[in-house]
Amino acid sequence: MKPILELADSHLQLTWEGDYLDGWSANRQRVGVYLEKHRISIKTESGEVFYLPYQELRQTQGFYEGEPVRFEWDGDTPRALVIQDSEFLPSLHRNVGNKASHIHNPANRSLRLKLTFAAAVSSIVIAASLYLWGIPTIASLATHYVPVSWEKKLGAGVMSYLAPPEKLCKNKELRQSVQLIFSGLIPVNSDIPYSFEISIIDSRIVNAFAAPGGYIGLYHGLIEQTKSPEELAGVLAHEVQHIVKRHSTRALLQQASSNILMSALTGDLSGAQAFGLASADNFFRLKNSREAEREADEEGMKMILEAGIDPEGMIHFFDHIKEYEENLPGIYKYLSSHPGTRSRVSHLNILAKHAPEGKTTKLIGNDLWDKIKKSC
Amino acid sequence: MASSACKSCDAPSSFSSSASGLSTHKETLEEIPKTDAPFDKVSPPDVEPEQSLRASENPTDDSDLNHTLTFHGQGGTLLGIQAVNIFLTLVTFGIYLFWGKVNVRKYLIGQTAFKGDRFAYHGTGMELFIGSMKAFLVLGAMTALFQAAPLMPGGKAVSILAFTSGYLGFMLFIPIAVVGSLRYRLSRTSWRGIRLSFRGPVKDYVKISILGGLFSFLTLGLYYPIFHARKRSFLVSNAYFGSLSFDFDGEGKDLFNSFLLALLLTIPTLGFCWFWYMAERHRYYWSHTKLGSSKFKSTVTGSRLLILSLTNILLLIVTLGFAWSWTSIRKVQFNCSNLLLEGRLDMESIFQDAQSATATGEGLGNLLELETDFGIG
Repeated sequence: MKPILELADSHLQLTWEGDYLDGWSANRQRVGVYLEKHRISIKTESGEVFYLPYQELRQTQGFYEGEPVRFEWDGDTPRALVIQDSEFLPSLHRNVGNKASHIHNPANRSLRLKLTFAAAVSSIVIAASLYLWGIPTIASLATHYVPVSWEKKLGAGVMSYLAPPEKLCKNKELRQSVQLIFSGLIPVNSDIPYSFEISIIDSRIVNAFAAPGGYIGLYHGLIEQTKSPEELAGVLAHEVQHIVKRHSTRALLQQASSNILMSALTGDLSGAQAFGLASADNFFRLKNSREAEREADEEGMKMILEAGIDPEGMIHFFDHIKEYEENLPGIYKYLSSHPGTRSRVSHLNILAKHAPEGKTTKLIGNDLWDKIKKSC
Repeated sequence: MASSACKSCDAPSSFSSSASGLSTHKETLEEIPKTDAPFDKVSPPDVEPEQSLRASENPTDDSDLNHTLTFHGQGGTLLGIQAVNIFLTLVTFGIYLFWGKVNVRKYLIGQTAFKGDRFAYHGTGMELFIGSMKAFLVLGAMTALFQAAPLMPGGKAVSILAFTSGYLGFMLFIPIAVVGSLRYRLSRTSWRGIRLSFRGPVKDYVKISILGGLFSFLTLGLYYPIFHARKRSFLVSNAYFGSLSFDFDGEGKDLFNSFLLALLLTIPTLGFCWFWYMAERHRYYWSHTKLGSSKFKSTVTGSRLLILSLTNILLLIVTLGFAWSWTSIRKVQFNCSNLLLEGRLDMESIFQDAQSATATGEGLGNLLELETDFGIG
C-alpha cells in the first residue's frame, strides 16, 4: 500500500493511509493519517478531520509481523483506525518518540523473541523442578500433617472396594495364624500410631497391598505360595512399612499436586499433549514407587530382625516368587506391582548379614503352616 | 453495558465529540492552522483517484458474490504466545491462566480476516477470571451436594435424592454453559467494529437439550441427528452480526439416512465413515445458514477432514504434544479455507447493536471443558 505522500525516506514519512471504522456501521472509510507531535490527525474523504492524543489510542492489533496495526478509542463499542502499512509503526516511533511508548515498537521484536525463548526455557526449568523436587518435598512434608483419622477413612474406603466382606476368607484357624505371625512383628511398646487390620481375600492372585490408616490386604494366592510362616512375616513387615511410612498417602498428595501443575501447563491444550505429560508422570510415579518399595524392604527387614524372626524367610519368598512367576499371566504376578525383584533379593541378603547373633523365634511349625495355609 | 455508544446519536458518521464522550476533536479543514495542517499538502484531492477507487468503500467491493475467510496465523508465533502464557501462569500460581487464554483467542481471532478485514477480539483476562471464579463457586456448590449425598441424615432416600438433584444440576449446567459461552464469545468478537451477539433465551436451549437428550436415549440414539440439528438451529438463528441476524433452516431429518448409513458402516469401516458423515453434516449445516440474504457454503470433504485429523493426531503424538500450536493453526486454517459466503452482503444495512454478556457462562464452559464453536476437525 502506497503512502499518500511519497517521500524518499520512509523514516521521515508523516502521512499515511488507513481505514476508519466508526463503531456504528459496517462500512469502512478510507482516511488520511498524519503524525503530529502530540497527537494523530485523521482526515476522512469528506474532508472532516479529527485529532486524537497518542495517550488515548489503544493498540489492539499489529503486534506481529504482517498484522495490520489497529488503534481503538472510546468506550464499549470503540471506533477504530486500521493501518496496513508495516512501515507505519517504525515511523511513528522515530517521529514521535516516547509520546507513543505505550504503542508496540517493531524494533523490539527481536528482544521479545529472546524473552519468549527465555520464558519457554524458564517454564521448562520451573515445571521440571516443581515436579521433580518441589512437589515431592511438599508432599513428604504435608504427609506428616495428615491426621491418622483421615488416613483411616481413606483406607476403609479402599478396603470396602478391594476387600469387601463377602470376598474374605472366613477360616478361623487361618485368620488366627496370620494374626499370630503378624503380632510377632510389632513390638509391645511400639509407638506406631496405627491399629492394624488384616483382610485375607479369597482369590488366586499372588499379591498383597497396604491401604492408608493400617489396613493390609493379603490375597489367599500369596499365602499359599509361602513355604513358611517366616516368609509371610516378611511380606507383612514390608506392607506394614508402607503404612508406617505413609507411602500411599504421600503418593496421593503428590498426585493431586501434580494434577494441579499439569492442568496449569495444559490449560489450553488438547488431549494429546496432556497424554504426553501423563506418560511422563506415570514414568516418574513408577520411579517413586520403586523408591517406596526399597524403603519398605529395608525397614521391613529391620523389623524382622528386631522381632527375632529368621530373615531367610523374607529373602526366600522373594527368590521363590521370582521363579514361580515366570510362568504366570500378568495379573497374578506379585512383581507386577513390586518391580525390580532380582536386585531386591540381593539387597535383602546384604541387610540380613547385619542380623544380630542369637536364636530366632519359630512362629508356627512349617508342617502345620502347610496345612493351615490351604484353608480359606 | 455494551449498548452501542452511537445508538444515541443519529448521525454516526459525523465524528461529533459529544457522541463519544471522549476527547476526540472534530475540526473542519479550514479550522486547522496552516502550520498544523499537513493535509493541505496533499489536498485536494488527498487521495489519488485510482487509489480511492481501489481502497475506499465502493459498491463493487461489497457486491462481490463470493466472500472468503482467510487465516494468517502461524504456529511459531502461537507457540511463543503459549510459552509466555505458561511461564506467567507458573510464576503467578495459575492466576495468569485466564489472561493467557485471552491472549491465544486474541491472536487466533485477530489473524482471521473476512473480505480482507480482520476480526477483533475484545474480551479481557480480568472478566474471564471473575466469570470463572463465579462459575467455580456455582459448580463447587453442586460438587459439595454430590459429596455430601452419602452423609445426609434421613437415610438412603434422601441420599439418592441429593445425588440425583446434583446429577441433574450438572446436566442442566451443560446447556447453560454452552449458551453462556457463546453469548460471551460472540459479544466480544467484532468485524469492522461491529459486534457479533447471541440473543437466544437460555431456557429454550435447556428445554431442547433435556428433551432431545431424553428422546435420543429412548430411541437408542436414532433421534440424535435431529437433536443435533435442533441445537444447531437454535444456536445459529439466534446469532447476530450487529443488527443483521443469522438464519438457519436445516432439519435433522435430512441427515437421518446418512446418519443411519454411518451407523451401519461403523464396524466395517472401523469408524472412519464418521469423518464423511461429519463433513456432510458440516456442509449441510452451512448450506442452510444465511446472513441477511447471503448464504454460506462449506467445501469440507470427508477425505480432507480425515487427513487433517489423522495428521494432526500423528503430529501431536510424535512431538509429545509440542506441535499443538501448529495443529491448532492447521485446524483454523482448514475451517477458514473451506467456508465462504455467497451473495451480496449489504453493508449499508448493518449497524452496531451490541449486547451485554458476562463471562460466567464462559467460565462454566471452561470448567466443564465444553467446546463451543462452529468449526470442525
